[in-house]
Amino acid sequence: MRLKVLNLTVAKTIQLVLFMKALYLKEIRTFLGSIIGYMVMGVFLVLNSLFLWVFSSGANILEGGTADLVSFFTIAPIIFLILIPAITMRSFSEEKRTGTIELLLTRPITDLQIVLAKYFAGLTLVFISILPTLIYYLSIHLLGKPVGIVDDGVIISSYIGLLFVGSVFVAIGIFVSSLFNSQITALILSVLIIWFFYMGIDFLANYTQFGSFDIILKNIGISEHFKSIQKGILVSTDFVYFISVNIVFILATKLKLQSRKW
Amino acid sequence: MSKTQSKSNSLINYVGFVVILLMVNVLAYFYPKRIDLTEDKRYSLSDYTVEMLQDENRLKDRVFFKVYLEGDLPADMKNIRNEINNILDEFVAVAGDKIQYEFIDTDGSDDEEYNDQVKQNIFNKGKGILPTYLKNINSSSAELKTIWPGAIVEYRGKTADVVQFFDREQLVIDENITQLIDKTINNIEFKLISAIRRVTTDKKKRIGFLQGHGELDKNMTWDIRQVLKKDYVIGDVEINGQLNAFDDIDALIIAKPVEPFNEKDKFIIDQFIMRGGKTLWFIDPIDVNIDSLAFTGETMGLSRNLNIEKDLLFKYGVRINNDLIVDNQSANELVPPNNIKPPGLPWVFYPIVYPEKHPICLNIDPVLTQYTSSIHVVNEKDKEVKKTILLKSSPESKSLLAPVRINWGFAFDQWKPDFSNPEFGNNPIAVLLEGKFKSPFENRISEAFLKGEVYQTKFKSVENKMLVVADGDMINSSYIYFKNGQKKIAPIPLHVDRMGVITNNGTPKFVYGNREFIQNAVDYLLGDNSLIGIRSKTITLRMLDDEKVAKEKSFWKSINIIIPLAFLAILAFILYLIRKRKYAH
Repeated sequence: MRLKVLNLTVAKTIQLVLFMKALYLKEIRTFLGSIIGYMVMGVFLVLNSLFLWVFSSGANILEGGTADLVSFFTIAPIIFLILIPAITMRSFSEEKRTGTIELLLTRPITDLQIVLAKYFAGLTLVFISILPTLIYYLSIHLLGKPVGIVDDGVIISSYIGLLFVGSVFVAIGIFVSSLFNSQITALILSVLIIWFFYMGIDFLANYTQFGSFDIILKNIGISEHFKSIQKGILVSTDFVYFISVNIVFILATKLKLQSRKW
Repeated sequence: MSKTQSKSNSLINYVGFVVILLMVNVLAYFYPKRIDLTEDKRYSLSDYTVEMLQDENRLKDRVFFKVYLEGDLPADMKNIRNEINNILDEFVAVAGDKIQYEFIDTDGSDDEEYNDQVKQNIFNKGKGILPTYLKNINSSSAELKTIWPGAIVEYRGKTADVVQFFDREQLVIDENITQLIDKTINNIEFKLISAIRRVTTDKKKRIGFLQGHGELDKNMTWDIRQVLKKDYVIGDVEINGQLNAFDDIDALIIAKPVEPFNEKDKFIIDQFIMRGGKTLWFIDPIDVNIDSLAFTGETMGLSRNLNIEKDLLFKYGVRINNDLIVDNQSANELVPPNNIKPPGLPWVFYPIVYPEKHPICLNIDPVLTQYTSSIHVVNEKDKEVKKTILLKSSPESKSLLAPVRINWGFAFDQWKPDFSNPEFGNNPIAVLLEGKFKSPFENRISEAFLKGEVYQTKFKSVENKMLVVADGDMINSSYIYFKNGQKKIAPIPLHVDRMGVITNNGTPKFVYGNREFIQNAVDYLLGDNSLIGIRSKTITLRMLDDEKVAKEKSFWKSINIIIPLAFLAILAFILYLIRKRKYAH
């Protein structure tokens, strides 16, 4: 009897996971099956490459002369600011507009699982766009004097940080997308909200006269937590922050989905 | 469950969750755990630093750093500034509000008069932060910018100390100053923690400059005294036959004695060492009469009898050789007849020596010596006394045994000694001795004295350290020159090249590390060893290979654009194939 119950729950779980996986794969497939998808990623990579290697600016690695990727990890989040909303804008808005959202909601999976499937799909796409930038690392590794002088620890830590930043952007993007039927509205608002969290709060903190309040304000912002990870120090506080912000926005999205029943 | 109930439940759940997360974050903020992934552990403070910052007995009050390296700075200076900021952040992370700091831009205010006032205050008539003039040769307008690479330390509401991160009068942007930047960055933690140590130390250790054997006087050692005065109490000591002459000093500096020591003085110095007193010997065994060199163009370097080399120093572990070192890598001297004007000609009797790898000489500039002799390490494998060579002449040097004939010919290439055999080079000039020293007076003192209860004679020292340098002028900050047949003496700081040799860019070619070398040695002998631990931490500057970059620029440019795009194309192709296969069935 007990075994039967167990079997049932296992079967149910497997079914749920399969549904989630199907949804997750579908998300990725639609994105990578479209020209838009490649354009978004291509723009990200080309912009990065141009700023880091071609354009004569403060970010140019060859002109800077130091064997690190500091400029990449400074520019990448700013490009993410536009790229990630472009990836996530369609996740709910599109489904809402075409009405497929109703179909999705009738499936035997929970709201949270829908959100998670879309979140992880977004994260995977971010990961895929970052992957080719390893060539930057390889380049400075070979160009170092002597070869390999680049600090691998800092690079690893910075990539971890960049993924964290990306994940927060994805969570925010999906949440905003769940609020609107129009992709364009979702895109613009996502960019604004992400900009506010990434840089805006910092600006505010720098120009306020609230005394010790500016430290609290700064700590709400994303860039403050990206700073030390970028330098090669993993601080528990930053990890807790990134995971918390992700959870807050994922749950907010779930709340929005639930609200249809109210 | 009604609709409104489920709504309020969900909302409450959500808000509850957010509040919990917020609390977790606040908790995490106050108990941070950190892992330093950098290869040179750049962001980890040394154990000693952490220990001192956590020591409540020491840090009773708040130490406030006002750093003036701020504003519109070129990249190199910005690196230094950021590194200072990082380390101060780490200090704050450890010590909490006991450490505070502020970066102040000296040009920060719109009010020019106010800015000038700030600069006047931090310069403090040369006693405060010394400015560096930055010259930009690349820009069409030769603009000169002044930066203030230092910090004012306030303790108990008063200015207590000044930290100078680097000391150069002028720097040219775009000139290769990597080494300076490297050194400066490596030294930040040390300089800041020494400042904290300094301002929070109530009882300073005492250093005596020995007098009575024709040693360098107050005026000739003014520069090093000025530097040491910050950390120690400085004074002259004379023995005058008193057994307790050194009772209230911790270290003795013997700077270029020229008259022989009598047995009594030797005994008193020896007993000072046996009891743990630290000694720094700057000994010139050869007397070079520079007057006769100046007036006749030739002189003889003769051994001088100091009566300490054969027994005292020998027993401790070194022999100072009766020789003079000539080195191809040397400072300049005014050489008659034609080169009597600065910058003069390279003078082989002024070797510029590059420090060995030891905490005392880490991150310091090369050291200038004048008419230096060499040191022979006695009984190298002795386990009781560890001997470390700190300075040695270059491979292109050799030792000339006394009596040495010195004439202006040495300044000209055709009469220069043959430096090609490296076996003659690398002569030790400064040696550090650490361990339990044996007294040369063992078996030499009368039984009657030993049995007397007045004085407890010791023949073996406690764990002790000493520095022996075979050059008395290393600590001499007076410059003797001859003008119109008259001998003149001018004060000159130890780090300054008195000939003022400059590079093409107008910056000094030589900056000497004598001051830092002596200062570090004193710190090492007297201070905690752990302070030296901070010094020995190095941070590598990670640079690209400029030549390779210049040569293969376009290759790396194209690679970095093409490969990421190619990756996308391949990804698209693979996905296309998969899809095709899937739908073909």
